[in-house]
Amino acid sequence: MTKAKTDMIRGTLDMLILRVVSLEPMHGWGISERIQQMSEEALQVNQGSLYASLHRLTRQGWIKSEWQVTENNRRARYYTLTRAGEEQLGIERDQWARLSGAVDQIMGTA
Amino acid sequence: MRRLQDLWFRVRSLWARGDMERELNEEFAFHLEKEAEKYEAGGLSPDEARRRAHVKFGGAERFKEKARESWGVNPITDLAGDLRFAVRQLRKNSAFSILAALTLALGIGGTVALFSVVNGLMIRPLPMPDEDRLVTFWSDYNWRGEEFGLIKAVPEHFESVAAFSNNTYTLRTDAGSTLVLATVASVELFDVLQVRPLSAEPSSGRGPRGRRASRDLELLDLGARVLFRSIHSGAAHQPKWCADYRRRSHARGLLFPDSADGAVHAARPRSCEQRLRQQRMARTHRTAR
Repeated sequence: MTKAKTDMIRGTLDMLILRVVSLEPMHGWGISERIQQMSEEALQVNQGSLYASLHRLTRQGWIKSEWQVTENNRRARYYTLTRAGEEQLGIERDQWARLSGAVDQIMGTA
Repeated sequence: MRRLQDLWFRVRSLWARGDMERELNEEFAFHLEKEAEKYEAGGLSPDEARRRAHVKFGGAERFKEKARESWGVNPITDLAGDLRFAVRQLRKNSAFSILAALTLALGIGGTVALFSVVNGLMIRPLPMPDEDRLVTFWSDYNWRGEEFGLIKAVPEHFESVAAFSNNTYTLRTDAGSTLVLATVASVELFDVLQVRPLSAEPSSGRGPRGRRASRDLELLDLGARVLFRSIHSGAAHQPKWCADYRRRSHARGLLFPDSADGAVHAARPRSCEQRLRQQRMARTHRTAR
């Protein structure tokens, strides 16, 4: 736990969720674990924002949810990327590339 | 399609609020369990693992509220809550509520009544051409035939002059009798108003109550008013001109010799039924001849 925790930049959580869910259908806890894992523990997901984001994305039709039984025979809500979500993920990926590229150029971190 | 999804989600948040809440609780509980399992796998006792999971998760109620916000129906549920609160408060102070409602009702009713009078008398124009040239004379007494004849004989001020009288008559039919409001008028009325009657057949036969109504003199005996169309546009807006005309009438010694108190009124009629109303409102007494 010596690694510095990076605060999530506003608005990026939705994009990260879309990305993680695009890999495979996943429940909320799994998504937060996966984001921490993939960022090598640099990104910590706030649980409250996570579920608010998941529900908002569902409302917007980018992901859809389904109650399924886990391997341990428990009920969990699994989130899947929709077709509209795939398109949105592409748009956000492009936007992020442009934004981070521009910031890198200014900061000299490219 | 996405709009539909959004709408469906919101509708469900409102109609199946209980289901949504239950699912939210279940989702959070599952999250806590998985978190606790993770700590347990790391070597902690089950109780300690659960405690740590709770600590890490933080204020569940606050997070639930955040999730509910994302359902997009908070403005509606807040409004419903406010309304429920308002109704509770109003029922608690029922005497005060009734008083407030009555005050509002009186205020609104009064304003509406006053506006409809103002609208009828001052705002809505007459549905006739050049309505600002239409003027009525009226008094509490019947016009005499000579007076009407005199006005008709002064062409420099009047394009046309007509006499009319509103009365209630009994209309007898095979089905029975009924009261009707009718206007008896001299034939020039349509020229004055510059409108065409649907059926133009001046009656020369016997009028209501067996009187001959087609002749001016008899019509005036019924209590007629005189309506004229001025050759001056805007005559109805010029009280000075009307006063002037009245003075000249006096000078001739025929019209209303003693009406120095302004008993004969030149006024601006609005429409047939409004004219009646105007008379009631603005009537002043003519001094005895």
